Amino acid sequence: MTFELKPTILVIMKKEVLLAIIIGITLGLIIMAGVKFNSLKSFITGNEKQTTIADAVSPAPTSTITPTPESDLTISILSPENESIIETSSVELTGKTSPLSTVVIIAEEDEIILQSGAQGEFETSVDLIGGENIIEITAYDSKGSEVKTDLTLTYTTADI
Amino acid sequence: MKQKSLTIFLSTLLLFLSINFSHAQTQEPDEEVVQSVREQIQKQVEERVTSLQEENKKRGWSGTIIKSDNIGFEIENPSSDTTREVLVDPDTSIISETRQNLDIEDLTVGKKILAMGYLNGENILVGKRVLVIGEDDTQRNRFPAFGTLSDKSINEKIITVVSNKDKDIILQLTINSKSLIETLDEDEVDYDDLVAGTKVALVYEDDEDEKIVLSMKILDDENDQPQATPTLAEED
Repeated sequence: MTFELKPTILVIMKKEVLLAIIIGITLGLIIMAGVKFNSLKSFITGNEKQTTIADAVSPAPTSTITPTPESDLTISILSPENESIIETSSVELTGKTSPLSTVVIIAEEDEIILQSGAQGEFETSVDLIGGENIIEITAYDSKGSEVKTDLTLTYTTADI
Repeated sequence: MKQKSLTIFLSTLLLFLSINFSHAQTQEPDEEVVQSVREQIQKQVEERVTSLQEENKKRGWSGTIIKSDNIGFEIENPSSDTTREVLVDPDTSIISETRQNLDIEDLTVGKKILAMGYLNGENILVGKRVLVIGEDDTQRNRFPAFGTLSDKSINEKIITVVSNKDKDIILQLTINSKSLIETLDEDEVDYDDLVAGTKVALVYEDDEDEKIVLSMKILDDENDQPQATPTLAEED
């Protein structure tokens, strides 16, 4: 009997030990999962913070020059800003006017005639001279109505 | 027996947690690295933002000095009819028309200058470089025009362009070797190929004697015949 009882006790004991170990590991896993979840949450919050910083990098709204139009025709220069200092001998000029208007640009030593796009956008490279550059930009619609604006830029290679 | 099981359970739990926490502890530097990278990115972003803001505040102002003292001056720009303040300090480069270095005291009332620097919060230019520039009396004599080509001379290269907006505005323009005539696609167009009724946009130079086309674009092939078609060119 003794020989028969001992293995049964051993089996019962082993089952209890095994159960204790399994419960211990399971609880441990649950606790660790909780800890990991919290750290993940804080990481995501950190990322959200980074997004806010990234938003700060996005360029500030570009200044526009919009003269009082004589008709529905308008023109605005999106970049560069009026009275900016430019360090290169040519500058990319972008603007917006009425769709498919004719844009005439008179720079210090340059004349450019182009047509605005379907959304009224236009873009061109303008050569600059050293010092102050006054650039006259005139837009015409198909009826010949016109609107004009001036853009003053200073080209210098000196350190400012 | 139950006590033994409880002991084993607690021991297992503690052992498991201690192993995991120690593992998490060894991963702690990773968090620090992430934090450090995050801080570096933030710093770089802030530097870039500051740099962009400074770039955006770089300004060049021209005008005539109307008031001056040892810390700055006030300028008036006739074209914009405004007066603005410029601050200068001993580090400001002041350059004469002949490229000589000048002192602040040399910036006297009446001098025309081009001041370059940064705008401060009060919309005052902190001058870094001030150029004394000569009076530029020359008026720009180039003008834009938009209209319909109504006529062209056969003997001389003279065209007549009628404004689309106001038919009373008629321009007689000379085409010479300086004149560039193109389509919008920048294909060059010969004088002989110009056809009456063509819509054109152009820039011309207004000399005392004549108006010379500098640049002209043929806008389309529509035959929008102008209403007024005086053939002044033919009279020549």
